[in-house]
Amino acid sequence: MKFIPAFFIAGTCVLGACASVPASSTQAIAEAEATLKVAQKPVVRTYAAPELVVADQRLDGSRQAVRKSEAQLAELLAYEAELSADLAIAKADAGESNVANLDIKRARGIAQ
Amino acid sequence: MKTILKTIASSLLMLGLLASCAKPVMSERTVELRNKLTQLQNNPKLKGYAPEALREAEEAVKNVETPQESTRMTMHLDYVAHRKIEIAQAKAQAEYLEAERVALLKLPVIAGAKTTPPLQGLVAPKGEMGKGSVVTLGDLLFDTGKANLKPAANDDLNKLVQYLRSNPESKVLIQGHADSVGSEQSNVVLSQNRAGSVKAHLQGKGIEAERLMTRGEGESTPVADNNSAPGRQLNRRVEVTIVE
Repeated sequence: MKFIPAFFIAGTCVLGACASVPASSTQAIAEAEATLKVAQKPVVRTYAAPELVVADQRLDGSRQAVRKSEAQLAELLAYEAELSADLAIAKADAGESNVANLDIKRARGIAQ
Repeated sequence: MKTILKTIASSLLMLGLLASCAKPVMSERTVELRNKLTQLQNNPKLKGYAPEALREAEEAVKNVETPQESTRMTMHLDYVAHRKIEIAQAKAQAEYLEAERVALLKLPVIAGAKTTPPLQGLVAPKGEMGKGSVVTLGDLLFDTGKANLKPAANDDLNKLVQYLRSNPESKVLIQGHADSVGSEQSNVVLSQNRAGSVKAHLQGKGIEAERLMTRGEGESTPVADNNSAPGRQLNRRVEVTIVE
């Protein structure tokens, strides 16, 4: 009988730990979402649509992992989503610069 | 006693089996990743560009070359390394093109040369214009660091002018934006001046001043990463929104 309150307390602590989402997972998802938001521009879709699709998929996976209380997996997938979005932005930057330079070359009669 | 000893022996055997299963895991693509990175590092065209991104890629590849406890972590590090290498390549390429552009802009333009409007010139909404449509004038339509609108903008703004003429009740908000280079105050001034140039251009086409509102947003609303040259170029823009 003495042990019953102890079991209740221990059980509550365990349930509490399982139910709460570690701050690192939440932070990782928030960062991925922020980067993906920046990447959601038409110019980025023009140059890096596949990378955006992968970023979306990874972010979805991360959210599912949170729902299943798989904190470490959630964090890994969120970071992968963020990297994919970063890559999409970097490819769009390079693509835009390339187009701009081609136009400048044309205006100056430079062979390409 | 015998039962206890049997239990202990079984447990030790299980632990031993489990321990032998948990061997450190390495990616099978370690060599491929290292080769890919080395190729990038030795690319003569891109040498010296995006050093920070290259350092991150190097670190990521080193992580892949370190055996990990779980397959999931190995897969994750493999993915990270691939992406970091690709990011470094794209950033180096963008910086190389930026440097090329600086050199090209010093060359004289051939009179009468036909050019297509650059993507970073004007981006007009597809389809019909209407309330909420946004026309974006990119950095290349202005002289570098100045508010003068280049002649190339003339043709590009025609569609907007036609819309405003056909819809005499409509009004636009002209917002100038800047990148994060320079002081916040100077960026507000430059972005306001560029918005003013667009307003002056539209007024020159007969659009009444009271229909043209301007605002200098400075560096407050970037659309791309200010840490890269192409990102900063995308941020240097004027957006004309049809508000009524």
